[in-house]
Amino acid sequence: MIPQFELHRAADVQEAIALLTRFEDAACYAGGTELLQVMKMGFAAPAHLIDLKPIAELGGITSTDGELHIGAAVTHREIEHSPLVAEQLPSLVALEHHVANIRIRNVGTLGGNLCFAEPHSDPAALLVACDATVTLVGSGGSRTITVEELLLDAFVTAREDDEILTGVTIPAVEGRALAYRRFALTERPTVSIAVHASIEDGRLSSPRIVVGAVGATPLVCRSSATLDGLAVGEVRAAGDDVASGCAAEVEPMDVEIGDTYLRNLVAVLVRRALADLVDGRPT
Amino acid sequence: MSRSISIGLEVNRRPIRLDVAPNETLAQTLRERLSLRGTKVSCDAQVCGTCTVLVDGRAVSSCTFLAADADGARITSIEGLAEPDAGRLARLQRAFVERAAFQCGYCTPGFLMSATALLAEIPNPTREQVIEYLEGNICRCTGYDAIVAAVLDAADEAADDGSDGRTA
Amino acid sequence: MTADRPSMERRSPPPPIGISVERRDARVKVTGAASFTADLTLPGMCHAQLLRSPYAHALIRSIRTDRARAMPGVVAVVTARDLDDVDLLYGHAIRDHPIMAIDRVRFAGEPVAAVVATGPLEAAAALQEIEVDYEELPFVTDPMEAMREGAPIIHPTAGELGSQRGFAEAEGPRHPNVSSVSRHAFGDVAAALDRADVVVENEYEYPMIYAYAMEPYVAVASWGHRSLEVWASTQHPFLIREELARCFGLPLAAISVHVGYIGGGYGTKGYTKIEPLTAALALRARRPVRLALTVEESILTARSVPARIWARSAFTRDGVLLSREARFHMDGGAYAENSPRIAFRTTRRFAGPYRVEALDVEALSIYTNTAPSSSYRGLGSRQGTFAGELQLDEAAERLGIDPVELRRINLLRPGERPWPGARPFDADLRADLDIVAERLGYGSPLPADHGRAICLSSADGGAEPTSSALVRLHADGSITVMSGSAEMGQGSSTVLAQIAAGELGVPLECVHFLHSDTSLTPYDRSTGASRTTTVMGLAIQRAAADIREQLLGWARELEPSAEVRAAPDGVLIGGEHVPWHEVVTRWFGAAGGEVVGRGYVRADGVTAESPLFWEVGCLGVEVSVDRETGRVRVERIVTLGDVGRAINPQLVEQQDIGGAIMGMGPALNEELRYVEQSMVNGNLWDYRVPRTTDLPEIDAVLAEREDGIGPYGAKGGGEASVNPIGPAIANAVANAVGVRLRRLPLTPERVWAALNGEEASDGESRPTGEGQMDGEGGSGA
Repeated sequence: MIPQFELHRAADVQEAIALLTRFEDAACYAGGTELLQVMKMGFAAPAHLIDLKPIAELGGITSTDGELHIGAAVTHREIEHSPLVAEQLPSLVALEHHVANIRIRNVGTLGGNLCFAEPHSDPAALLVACDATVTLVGSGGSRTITVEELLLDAFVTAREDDEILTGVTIPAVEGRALAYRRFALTERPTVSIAVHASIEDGRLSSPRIVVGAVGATPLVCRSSATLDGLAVGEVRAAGDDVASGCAAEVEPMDVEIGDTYLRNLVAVLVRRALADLVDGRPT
Repeated sequence: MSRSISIGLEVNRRPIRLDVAPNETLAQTLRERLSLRGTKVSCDAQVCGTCTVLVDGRAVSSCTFLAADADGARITSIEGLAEPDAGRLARLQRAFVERAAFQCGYCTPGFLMSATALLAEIPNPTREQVIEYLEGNICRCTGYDAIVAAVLDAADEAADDGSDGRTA
Repeated sequence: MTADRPSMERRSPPPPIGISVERRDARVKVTGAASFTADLTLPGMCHAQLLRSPYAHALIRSIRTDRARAMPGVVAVVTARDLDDVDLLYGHAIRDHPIMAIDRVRFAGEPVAAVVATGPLEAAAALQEIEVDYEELPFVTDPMEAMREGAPIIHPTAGELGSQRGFAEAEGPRHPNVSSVSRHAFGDVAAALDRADVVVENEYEYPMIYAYAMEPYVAVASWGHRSLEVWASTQHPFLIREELARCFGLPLAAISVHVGYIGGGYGTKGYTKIEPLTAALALRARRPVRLALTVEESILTARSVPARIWARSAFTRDGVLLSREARFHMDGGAYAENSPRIAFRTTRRFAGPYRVEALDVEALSIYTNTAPSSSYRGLGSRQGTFAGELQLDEAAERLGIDPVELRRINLLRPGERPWPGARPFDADLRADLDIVAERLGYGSPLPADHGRAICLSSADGGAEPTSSALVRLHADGSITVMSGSAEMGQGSSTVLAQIAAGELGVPLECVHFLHSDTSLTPYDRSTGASRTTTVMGLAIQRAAADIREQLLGWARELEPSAEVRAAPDGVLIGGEHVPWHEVVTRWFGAAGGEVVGRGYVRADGVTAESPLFWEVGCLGVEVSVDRETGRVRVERIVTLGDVGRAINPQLVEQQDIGGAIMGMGPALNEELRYVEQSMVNGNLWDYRVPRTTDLPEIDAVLAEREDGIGPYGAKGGGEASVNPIGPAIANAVANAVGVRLRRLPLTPERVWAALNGEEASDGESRPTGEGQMDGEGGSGA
């Protein structure tokens, strides 16, 4: 059972912000796959839900000069089925194909997923690897921060109470190579790895390995730097060291799974993701 | 008390208007307000798929879908699968009967609705596609084997007939 | 009445026996029309919600309910103290279970108060207003800790024995936290050990799991004038009736327990669960009350019985099994529920389908401050078979004999008595083993990190021979079968209808079936232990025979001078074929009338010896292991249903396939975990059951040798796959990658840890020796 609340439909972002400002005890609502669930479980009982779905500008997937823009209220399924995303960021399509289940993907939104800041989020790690940004609009104006900056802690974001996350932007990258691997024991991933790099003239630059689901927020591994400037053919050989480095960096928070094993999973998935990356699997 | 919300929707091809509470789920509306009890609720957490119904053709967990959000939508529940006039079973339902793709039957409406969405989206799925699509539906009795076979049967039969797969 | 079916009829069963006819419940189940208890509403029905204890062990100092009573929509707030006119204790094995906590809570999640309100939301809101003052007590959630001296005593006063206990206790002193001790021993174990060339000895562990019947526990109760009606999602309406009669001081006839379609049972809807509580709430509310638990609450109502196992098996160097010994510590939880019977069954099921000259098995059911346990498909056999079958593979390795051959050497032959006084063995498992080995491709080359194994199981069928049935043949030839057996998806309404149709030679369409209902259908002890086809099938056969005999008599009354003989579908009166129903109308001399056939089964004739049948399993698997992540994937399963005679082959295969996939869960990842005083993964987000993506290639085979005592040679199936699949997967993993894990589930972490000589994070306190294959205990030759 979902506790009682008032439902407010916002016609545009400004109205949504006004509603958020007006009501002390309000929450943004779009797909509800996370919010309604925690309300049922008694972990939250906001008196007002501000429905963002009617806001047209939160929808749509567009591309400008190779920069991909995904509206906050776009569902996982829309991303999964978007020809534009398939063309520009096939790894995200592949990732979305494995988020939860069809029903959650049909309803749950990308913006909602990020704002909920569940540590085991699938998209978060990949978006951090891509150095994606989010736009936050509040009564004080609009600002753009990276997804990495957005995610402060488990279930905690940099979004202010009166701010709306309006969209996600994945920057254009010349010669982008991207790979995503996940390993799940229950509904959400136990470990996820996103590897992102630019490959020009057969060499990697700006490599970024991100470990999701292990710590409270996606971790950008310092060990990624080892890959910088390597030729594609050298990546596999360097992979073991990089993988061990990433494994050493993570700070596991799951008490149910052993630290040693989690670090092993991180290393295995990093190796596999790097292999995907250089094999030219979907980027 | 929170204000109720007036919604208009189509349930199994029938237009309906009603007032719903903001926190009322679509499952509650179907089961308790419209007496369509074929839709079952089990985990109440969007995991098991038992409460699956179609909202404008998309499979959703009606246990965690606000009735208010069904305003203007076309809802199909298990009661709407068979042909409206003759009461003839839909192809998928017949395939489930032939394969005995159920035992206790509690998960069956959810599986049938998910499979309906699947065949609408992918009329000729591979076995792997059926398995992936139905991963979010749990059955404890059958071990899934007969369910997957029944969905493939229904798709094959539709392909043979050149029809849309829902009815014969 | 015909008690024993002549062998002539076994050779050529009448149609529709042996035919996979369409399930009787097919149409209603694919259209959403099937009515489950969860779907029931009654006029004026109220909704109950339960307040549960956050503490594993505490005294209840006081409960304040006045604020809750004043909340909108509240009809009644009930605690145990408000029920002084009700006998609050129930329990079929031990009467130790209060329908709501009385002064003391014994597990986190135990109901301490209830609110009945006009709607569930109103009831939930009022629950928040109840204040309970607890005095926390030391708690114990681990069964081995509970056995220590000085452990918190969970039941300071021992409960009196329940009416359906059904077995004798082992004698001797015991720890106060031990609710039951069962022992099964024969032969001279010491002598066997002296003669043995190879002895394997190890410790094993079977996890605490949850069946997840998808319709959570639900009951509706409504009182009349000194009468009570209860609708429940249950396999055991007649046993619930007995408990209700005792709790509320009513005669059996004043209680109606109605059963609709059941949304999954698997044993967990057996015996009494929330029905007395629902009835008590309806008594106080003076309105019909519905109590519908969530899945999370259902897990806290009935999880399975885990086992810590020590076992030892002794062999000659030729592989002949001499003796087997085991000691099972089984965590029954805060209340005994069915755990004493499960422990008892375990002692009979550990040895498996093998000839041993000496056996000594002891099983203890232990109280802990954890959720109560219940039956779950394959009870006692799953736990026992896991240890027993692992030990055979360990021995095979030491002996240098192929594991399948080692089993073949020791398998019981048909007709052998597994132990003195037991019914002769009724299955040809050597033949079954050959079939499974061939279908599995046993011995043929495999890819790297793949492994195969075949495991067997034998359970003394838990079926009690207490059933009755009525078959009514109406004036138009249609038939109503009145059986107390519940349709929980296993297909009983189809199979029993097939038997009735076959016996009376009428088309299946003419047979109608009533849901189990204590006020309508005659007594059937229970639906479970794979008993229905055999026991209720016999009762229906006998009821049909009773009809035939009555109608032959009526025909002779009608035509005293003519020769009257039976035909398959009627009577021959002087050469004239008269269908059964015409005999009825002619005898009544009216357009209407009917004949009522009665069938009874008790421990007599073919059902005199125990067990009624041996429920055997023989199953092969092929697995692959990802060495880097430790993930095990089941690639192939060969199931074999040795059911004597499949009345409906499709339904039997479905039982075997469903059981195999269900059994994969605890083999690979299902396990309920306690941390401190609470269960930490008692929800479906954290407790993952098998999904479509886990589905391997399955080959389901039936062996029909008409060697059961049931109709047409049938015997019980339904647990054939679930019992041996756990050890089969564990042994196959050992064959794939060389690590033998003696604790289920084989989580990726445990497999990886074993492969890398690491300690799994949750394995340090366990003495189960998860390690390499060498270094096994015991005295080698």
